[in-house]
Order: sequence, then structure tokens, then C-alpha cells
Amino acid sequence: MSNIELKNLSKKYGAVSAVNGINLSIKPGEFVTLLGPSGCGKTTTLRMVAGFIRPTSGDLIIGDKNMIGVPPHRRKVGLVFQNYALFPHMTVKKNIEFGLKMQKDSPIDMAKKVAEILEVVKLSELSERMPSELSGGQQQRVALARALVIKPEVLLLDEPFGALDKKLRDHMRVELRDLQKKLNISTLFVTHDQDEALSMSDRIVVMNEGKICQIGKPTEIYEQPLSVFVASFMGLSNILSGKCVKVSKDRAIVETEGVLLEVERHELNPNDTVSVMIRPENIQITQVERGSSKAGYLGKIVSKIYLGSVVQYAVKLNNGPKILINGHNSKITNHPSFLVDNEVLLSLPSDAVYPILD
Amino acid sequence: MVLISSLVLFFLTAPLVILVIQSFTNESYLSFPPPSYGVRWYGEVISSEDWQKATILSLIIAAIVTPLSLVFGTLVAFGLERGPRSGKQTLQAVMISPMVLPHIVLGLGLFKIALQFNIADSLWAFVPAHLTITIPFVIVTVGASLQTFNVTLEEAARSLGASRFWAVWYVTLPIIRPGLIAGAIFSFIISFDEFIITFFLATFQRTLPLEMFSTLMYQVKPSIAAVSALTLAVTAILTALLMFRGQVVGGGKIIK
Repeated sequence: MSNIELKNLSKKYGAVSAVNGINLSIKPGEFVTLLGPSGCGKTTTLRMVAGFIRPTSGDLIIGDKNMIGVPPHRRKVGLVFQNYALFPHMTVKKNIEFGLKMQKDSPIDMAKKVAEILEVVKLSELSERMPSELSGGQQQRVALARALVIKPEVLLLDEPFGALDKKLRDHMRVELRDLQKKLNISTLFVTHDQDEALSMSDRIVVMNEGKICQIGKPTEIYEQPLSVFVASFMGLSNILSGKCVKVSKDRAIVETEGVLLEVERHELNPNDTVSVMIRPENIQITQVERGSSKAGYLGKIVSKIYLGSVVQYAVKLNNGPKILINGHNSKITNHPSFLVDNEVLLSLPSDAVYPILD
Repeated sequence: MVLISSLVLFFLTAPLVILVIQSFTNESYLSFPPPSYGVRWYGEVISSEDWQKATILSLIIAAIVTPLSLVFGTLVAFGLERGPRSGKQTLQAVMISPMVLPHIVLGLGLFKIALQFNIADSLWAFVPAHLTITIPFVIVTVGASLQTFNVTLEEAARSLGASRFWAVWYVTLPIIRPGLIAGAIFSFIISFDEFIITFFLATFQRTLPLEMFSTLMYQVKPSIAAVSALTLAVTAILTALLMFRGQVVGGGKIIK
């Protein structure tokens, strides 16, 4: 339950910067996710916090202590690895006891703490099993229990769901987050999976090429990306680059690939080059009605992908760009279904068009 | 396939089988098949002071060599596996070269050194000399185990409060134990059976193989067959131990 602070933390390998001047502060009990593509420096950052990589420069504060130069075993950091790294030659109980043994707890204390944490992760019955006799989900719970039993100052999770199948992964997500809230432990979570990041985090740190691109709540990251990189990394989006042609009181008009788009929020000036992000779920797709004066953009469906709850259309606008649209496939709201080559009308509400000044 | 395999098996084992059979002769000369059977020569060997002394010397040497070989070989294996990548291949090749180097060359070199330091004909010469050929075996077996060892396990231990040393002690060593056991058994057998190098270094002291050799120089008695059979038995038992534990020699994996 300590705060963690990364101050200008950097790691260079020769001339290559793996992590380049990261500033981040994690409040007590907060769940912060480092999100980014492989090679973005998220794992290096986590390993610097854990103490396995010595930063080239910068400071790392856990609680009120500067941890630079402190070896991993003196950091009180709970670490869960992608493949759990359970000790294969020890039973579940021995695995969990390991950290307590290292801090020289008395056997009575040890037994009590192990029993408690086994209760928390619902594995009391399996304490005498070997790791190889457990399912993936159970192994992960053991790894969590082992990391948590020493009451670490911070919990570090390195892609802990990577080895689980999708259904179990979704389940463990909820379970882990509940546990984290219950124990109120500051957590740094590393993942490349945006769904995991969005669903679990208090705040998300999007990283790319060793730098932080954006820090924010999941909604901010998804809906108000500060860069094209963040917009395109977080889910599916249409990103069109263009130029601001007209600015009025609270609106602006952006011209992009032959179409004019109305943008709501703006710090735009005329002639600014700008990218706009339009999420496929924010576009309304309707049939073209003859004689109707309904405003919108005319186009033709060029492809259709059925995804179950969503049907994804690609629409080529007349004299304009190709745009992806998610049509909801629901019996409740009666969304029309379209076929390839259908003429359709797209309406883009101005609050669905988000300008990104890169 | 079966035929060729059988022939090879016969080719490889026939000399040993014949020797063992001959060792159970009751006559005072070696012949095959022996006209009469008994354990006369075994009794002779076991009660002979010369053979006893030689066996004890060999056992003492092997008993000192094995743990030393294990410690040094394991340290080298760790160094090679965890150290800098550049030059690793070359260094490894040099480290294990005594395995393939003609022992007569090695013996000659060691003989020179032993004379220099005036330690020839003593444990001070025998033990280090044996180590030069046993350590490479430990480097190879432990090295193979370390290669398949998942270093994350050590990191997990360290994050749980174990220093580097204790992480290796509690996690790495138990997991690579098959490689350690294989290395130890190899070291023991090799030291126990070593002849050429010891021959260079010994003057009055006789290890078991040296005693066998000097006996042979004078006469070929069935006692030599009995000793050989006993040596063979020790080696076979140790090898069986190695196999029994489900060792893939060099691979260091336990098959359950």
C-alpha cells in the first residue's frame, strides 16, 4: 500500500534506449497498466521496478525509499510472471512458504499466513499438490498467492494472462482485480492486450519506443487519444489525416481525403494539419432514401464481416476515403442489415469525430 | 537392423563376458571356457594386501576428486551459461578439451608440473590430475541441465526475498540435480578407472588400475580377471544408478 514513483527512469543498451525518461507515480492501492506493443519498453520498466535491471539513470521510489542499487530481494516486491515461474520441485504450500522462509518467519506464523492466503485464492484443498498437477488457472492463483503472502509494497504483473485460454483469461481478470481491490495493493500491470488494460486499470500508461505516449483513465485513453499511435493501438478506429479549413465558435471543419467533417471540440486554427479519429461504433449507417434530405455521407459497401455481436462494414465514401463501421447485430434495436455493393448513408455526429493534433 | 544391432552388441560385450566367466575359474591359469568353476580368485584378491591397498587408494582419490570436480565444474558451467555471450563457444571448447585430448599428452604435461613442484607420487598430484579430466564431464552434464533451466525461476525466488546465492541453492540446484548427479557419477567412475595419467605421476603408489597393470607385467593370473570383474561391477552399478534415475545422460531430465 505504498506509492511508487518513477522519476525520469531510463535504460540504455549501448546507444539504444529501451526506456527513455519515464515519469510515473502510482498512488497507494492504484492499479496502473503499462500498455504497448512488444519492444515498447514496458517489460524493461517493470523489471527495473523489480530490481532485475539497473536503470542507466533516473530514480525509483517505493514507499519513501529510493530503490536504486537495492537488490531485488530487499525490495518487497511481489512479482507474477507470464508463465508463473512456480518452483516445480515444491508443493503448492512450499511454493507459497518460500518467501516467508526467506524472511525467517516462525513456523507458526508461516502456517497461519499460508492458510490465510490459500483461503483468499481458494486453493486450500490443493496445498499438497505439485504445480504440474494444477490447471493453468490454479497455477496462476498459486503464483499470486506466493507473491502476495509476503505482503509486498507493490504487486508487479508481467503479462500474467498470456498463457491462459480466452475464457479463463476473462475470468481471471475479474478475479485478480477483485483481489487487488480487496487487499488494496498498489499494482503495476504489464500487457499488450488493450482489452485487459481497459477493463482492469485505474489508469493506463500507453508506451511506445521507450517513451510514454499518454497516461489516463481507460475512457480518456480510448475516447480522447493524444496521438495517432494511441488511437490506432487502442481498438479499431478510422484515422483520417486532413487540414482544418474553417473555424467557428465551437466547431471546426476539417477537410480530409475529399470530404468535409465537422469537429466539435477544437483547439484548431485554420490551415492546421490534423488527424481525426472516428470509432467504427460511433457511425450510424442507414439506407439511402430517395428524396430524403437527410444529411450524411453517401457511400457503397465494399466488404462485410460477420463477427457475432457486431457486423463490420467497410464503406467507400463517394469521392472519399474508405471507412469502417460496426453495425450492432441485436434483436432489440432493429438495425438494418446490408449487403456488399449496397448504397448507404453514413451519419457522423460531430462529437464522434475526434481531432488529434500530432 | 536387428541382426546388425545384435552383432554390435556381441562385439561390444563379448570381451567383458568372457573375462567375467574366466574370473570364476578354479584353476591357476586363465582359459576359456574354464575347466572348473569357483570363487577361489575372488577370495584371493579380497584377502590380498596389495589389492586392498590399491583399491583403498583409488577410492580415496575418487572420493576427494568427485566433490571437488562437482563444485568446480558446476561453477564453470554457471559461468559459461550466465556470463557474457562473446567468446563463450571458444571458452567452452577449451574447458572441455581434456575430454578429447590424448591422455598421454596430458599425462606428460602433468608429470612435468608434478616434478617441478615436487608433488609426484602423492595425492597432491593424483587429485588435481584427475580433476583435469573429470571437471569437463561435470561442465558438460551440468551445462546441459542449466541450458534447459528457466532462469525466471531464480528471479521469482529473488523477488521473494532470496539473495542470488540462496535462490541458486533452493531453486536452481535442486532442479538441475539430475545433471549434478550425472556429473558426480562420471567423475567418480573416471577417477576410479584412470590409468594413463596416474601412471605418469606414480612411482611407488599404486591405484587399482596401476596395480592391475603391474600384476600383468609379471604374470597373467586369474586374479586379474577377478579384479577386472569387480571393477566392472562397481562401474556397472554406478551406471545403472545413473540410468535408473531416468537420466538422459547430458540432457539432465527426469522422466517420471
